[in-house]
Amino acid sequence: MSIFIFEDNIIQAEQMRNDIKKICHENNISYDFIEVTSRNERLIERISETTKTPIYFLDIEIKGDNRKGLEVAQQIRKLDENGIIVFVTTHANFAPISYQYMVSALTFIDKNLHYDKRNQLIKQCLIHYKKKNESEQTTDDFILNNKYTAVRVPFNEINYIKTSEPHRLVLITDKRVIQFYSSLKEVQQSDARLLRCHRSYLVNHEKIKTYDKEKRMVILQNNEEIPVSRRLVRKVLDHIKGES
Amino acid sequence: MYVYDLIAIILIAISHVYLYLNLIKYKQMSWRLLTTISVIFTILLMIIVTATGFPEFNALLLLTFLLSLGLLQQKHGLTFAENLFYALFSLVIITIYRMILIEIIFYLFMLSPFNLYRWTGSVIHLISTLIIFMTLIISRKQIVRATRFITQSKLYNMTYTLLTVTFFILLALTTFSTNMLNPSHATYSQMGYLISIVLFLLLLIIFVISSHLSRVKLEEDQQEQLDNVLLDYTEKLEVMHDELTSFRHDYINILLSLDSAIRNENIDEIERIYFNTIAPTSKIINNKELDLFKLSKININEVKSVITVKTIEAQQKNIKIIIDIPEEINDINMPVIPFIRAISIILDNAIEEAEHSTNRKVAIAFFEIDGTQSFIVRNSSTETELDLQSLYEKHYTMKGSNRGIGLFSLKRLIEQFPHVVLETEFDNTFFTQKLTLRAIHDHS
Repeated sequence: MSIFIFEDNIIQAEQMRNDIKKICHENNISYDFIEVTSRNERLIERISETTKTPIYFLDIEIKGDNRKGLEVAQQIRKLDENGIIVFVTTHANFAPISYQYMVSALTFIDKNLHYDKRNQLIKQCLIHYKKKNESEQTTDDFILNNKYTAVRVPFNEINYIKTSEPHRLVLITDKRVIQFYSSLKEVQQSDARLLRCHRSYLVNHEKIKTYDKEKRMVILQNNEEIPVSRRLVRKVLDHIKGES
Repeated sequence: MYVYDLIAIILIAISHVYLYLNLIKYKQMSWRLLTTISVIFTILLMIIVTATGFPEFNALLLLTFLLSLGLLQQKHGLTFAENLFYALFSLVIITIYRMILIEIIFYLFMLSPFNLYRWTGSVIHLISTLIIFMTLIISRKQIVRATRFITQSKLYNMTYTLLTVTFFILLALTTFSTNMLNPSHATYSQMGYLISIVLFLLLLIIFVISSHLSRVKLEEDQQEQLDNVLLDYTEKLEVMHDELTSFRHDYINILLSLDSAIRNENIDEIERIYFNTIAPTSKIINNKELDLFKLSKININEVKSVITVKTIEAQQKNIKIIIDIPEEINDINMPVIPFIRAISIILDNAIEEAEHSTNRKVAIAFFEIDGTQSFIVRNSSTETELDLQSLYEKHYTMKGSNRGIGLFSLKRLIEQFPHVVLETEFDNTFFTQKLTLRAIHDHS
């Protein structure tokens, strides 16, 4: 649980350190140390000293190099998969999407924002950091990697996976639909937690609310209905009973 | 019966079924199932033919069998006429091809110094069947493409007739066991044989021509698509040029009015002109040009022009576009033409949707991580809730507009490329489409 600030302007860096200290104090957020540096070697070195999930505030433009922040973020990701990365930048609309995906950055903070507004954003980030550290639960991802695709989704978001065309699967969460190349058999082999309830359906049993005997359907928490095939009814029922 | 014969017969059945399934585009059958069905069918056929003593059942049953397999595809819009055409095609082509092959190999064998044994015929039979099978597997794509082309061209009716005639001649050729037809068979078999070969050659010519024509058509289609992209691009450039001209014209007028204000030393007027008219122009210049400049990182012209055209289109509709291409892109991990089609659909939808929203924003990102490319488009939306799954159904459009059109074709398009993942997200009034293209050379 540590906080890193990567910034080459000494005045801004000190300002940020003080702001963060103040916010942490007010909101009862604990940390082991705050590291303020403009040298990436120093930052990378100290990652090994951290416990749990650290948070990194990175300036994108360091010493005139406007890709330095991203490079550092990529280095961090190699050592620390779960750390929270926040970019602090003067270029507000500077490459938001690609950075988010490339290093899964949490958000961007615009240096030009009004002092209060900016501190509000920093506070949100720190509260996220606090929550993540308190829950202790490392994010548990569903990962499928075959020679064609690599799909990665937090397991608890998955509702179900179904076949759409031969060898084409659709993974469904509350907010997302992902279409990729694989087979249910392959998915089942790579993640045994998913429950086969039908020839073309795999369901996340954590999402099952109830079973409708008449329609022979499993009903999910979001009220979606998934068919259950006759010969798998037994297995599905056992699973639901085992849950409750 | 030699084991060679048995294998050959089963292989022939498999070839028929395989070609037929390819023609009707039914791809859900595994090799194991295909083999099992063919073996069972062969056994069934042998029992019926030996029990009844009518070899003509051979062809008839096979035809019925193929036709009934076609039922699998009927719900996908396969008509009976087409079904019959494909069944006849598979039946006639393979049978005559085999006939000719056996004849040729036998002839070659007679020329060779090898001795003739009783099993030689069976081996030749097997070899020719193997050749047929290999030909089918190797050139199935060309065969399917050419046949599909025939069904849509003027040659369709002629080919149909030729196939039917050949089928009946083949039927006549095999019926030597029926007493009734035996005498006529004895007289006409040689002629029937000859006619069937002639017909086969005719079919072959049609086939070769169609194969060539279909390739030409494919190339033309692709060229046309590229031309359209280019045409769009030039049009947009013209529009931009017009805008620039009118901007220049306005600017000169502003300068003139400044000129007179300065001459009169009217500082209030000068201030008014500056703040009201001149200062806002810096915004216009900044906004529009900078983002287009980022597109120069894409080094594939077709892709660059598509994104440019869509960007200008969006800007004309007063949508704020953010382009996010951090690094150079030198090639696309999939064929360029389908990629262009896919991103056109995605961008059209995004622009259309953003136009109706209050935020009026579209962000386009294109970048590569460890060889995997991501093309992401995010747009503001009017909807608060969206059923993502039904979005990809065939006739889906959102209420009251044309939005959502093309997503079904997008899905169909993507399905042809195993290494492409399509991800759709709707969160907090922002709609995101993400195409992930894995590097193809990873496959080994």
